[in-house]
Amino acid sequence: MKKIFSVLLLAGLTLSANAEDFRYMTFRTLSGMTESLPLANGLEITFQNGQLVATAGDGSIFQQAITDMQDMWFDYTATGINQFPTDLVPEGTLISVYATDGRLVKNYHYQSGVEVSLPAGIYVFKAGEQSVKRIIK
Amino acid sequence: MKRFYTLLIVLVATSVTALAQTLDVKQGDITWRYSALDITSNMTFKGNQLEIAGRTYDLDGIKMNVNNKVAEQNTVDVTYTSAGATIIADARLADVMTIEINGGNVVVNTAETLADEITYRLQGVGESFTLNSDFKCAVVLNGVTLTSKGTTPAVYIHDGKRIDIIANENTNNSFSDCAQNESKSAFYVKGHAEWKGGGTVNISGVAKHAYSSNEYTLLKASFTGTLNILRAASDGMHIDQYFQMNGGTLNISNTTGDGVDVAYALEDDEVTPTTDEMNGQIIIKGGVINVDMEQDDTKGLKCEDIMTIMGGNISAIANGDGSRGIQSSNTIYVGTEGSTDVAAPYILLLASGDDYTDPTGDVNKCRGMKTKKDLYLYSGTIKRDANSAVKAKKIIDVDGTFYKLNGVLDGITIE
Repeated sequence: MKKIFSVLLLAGLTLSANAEDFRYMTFRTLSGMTESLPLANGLEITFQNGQLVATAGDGSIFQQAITDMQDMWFDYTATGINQFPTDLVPEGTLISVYATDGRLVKNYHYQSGVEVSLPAGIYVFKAGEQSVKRIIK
Repeated sequence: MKRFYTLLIVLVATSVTALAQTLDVKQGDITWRYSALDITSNMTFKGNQLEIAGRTYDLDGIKMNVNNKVAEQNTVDVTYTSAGATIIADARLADVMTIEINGGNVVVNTAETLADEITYRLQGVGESFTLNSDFKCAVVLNGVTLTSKGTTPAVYIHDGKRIDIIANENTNNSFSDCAQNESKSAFYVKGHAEWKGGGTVNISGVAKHAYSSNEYTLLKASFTGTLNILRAASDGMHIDQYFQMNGGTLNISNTTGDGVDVAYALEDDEVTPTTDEMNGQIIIKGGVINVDMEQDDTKGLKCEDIMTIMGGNISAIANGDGSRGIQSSNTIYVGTEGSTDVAAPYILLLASGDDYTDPTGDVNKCRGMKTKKDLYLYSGTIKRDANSAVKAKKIIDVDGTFYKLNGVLDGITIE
């Protein structure tokens, strides 16, 4: 009997390991830029006025014109704005950061793996013709 | 050691049930629910459309949510509210069914390619549910009240295969039509229905019958609930082929026609009985039946062929003039051959109506039980209620021969 229960426990743990919840929804634009939003507290995606607006339960937002979208998928790991594909956004590319009132907050040169420091708030990051909205907490 | 096993069970149960991530795609009042694990390829945008797991959605008005819900396979969940009906359905069904919602009216049509049994679960307060299908299914009554306001029944299940009707435990479910209903009954099964579950179901037929099925209806032993026929403009239950009851409680009153009327299923010529099994029969193996016939010339339990009462507890009241508590146009068998059990079946007859002269001039006498052929009392008890106006020698009328083996006639003499 003890052996049966041990097998059941192992099966249950194995099942849980293989069927782990996805942690992110990753969105990819036609330009190849990717952005991931966390799923731990849910995610809502709406399509209105030509815009895809994804709002995660933690308040982070991804917004993009539907016509600029390529695909999206469930993921276990995140991609983010500081991981622009280097063949599209080379190292050193100038990135401008705007507040939601249109005010330029910061310019910096892109370096992969390096996060930019900003006060908490909602910002639009622009690299050439590409842009993405982020919430900094 | 016991604590160790308990902990193991809890750990296993927790690890298995805690994992449920879903993607809901909401189009109007219909939500197609995916298990996140079923979306194995990227969701791809094509202009103003999005392809998810092989299905393309127009994005106008679409809303999507990722939640930790349970994606129930092969399930359509219908919730009726004052604002109308909303549906949550297994997204894998989207290509094999269409769902129409018109306020509190829901119509589901399934494709011929459907090859899986679908469960339709109904709850809330609304008007009607119609299912047109050709594959076996289950309809779960989960606390639903439907009152149709138009020409359709409150429930119409058109499915030539086996239909499980499940009244969930601890639920009350009510169905009624209106005078405009053009179908046979308020709850209409065009197929064969097998009832299960422990809930309560109330049916009222304003236009004609309360309940009808054009093939057999079976109340299974796993039906531990109560079916109340509250009123009917014609029969309480009108059934073609056969009616069998193995469990549960059936109460029928306030009918203009018969309580349970079982007719032969007929061939296309509408004259010749089919060769379907037990055609025209009533079979009672268990449960409790209370029928109360107050209208003239009505029958509580009526069938065109053999009636077999092997178990259960039946109370049949015939107070209308010319009414009968129990009637068969063929032989009635009570009990089980070889059994000496006098407790079951138990049949209580109360008959107090006068004679009734029908439109053809025939005089029908009020009886507790009537058979146009023979009566076999193998076992069990048939008792005359002391309040019956119909005398002990008259309360059972046998046109053929009465055979008594081990059963008991209590307060009854058969001449």
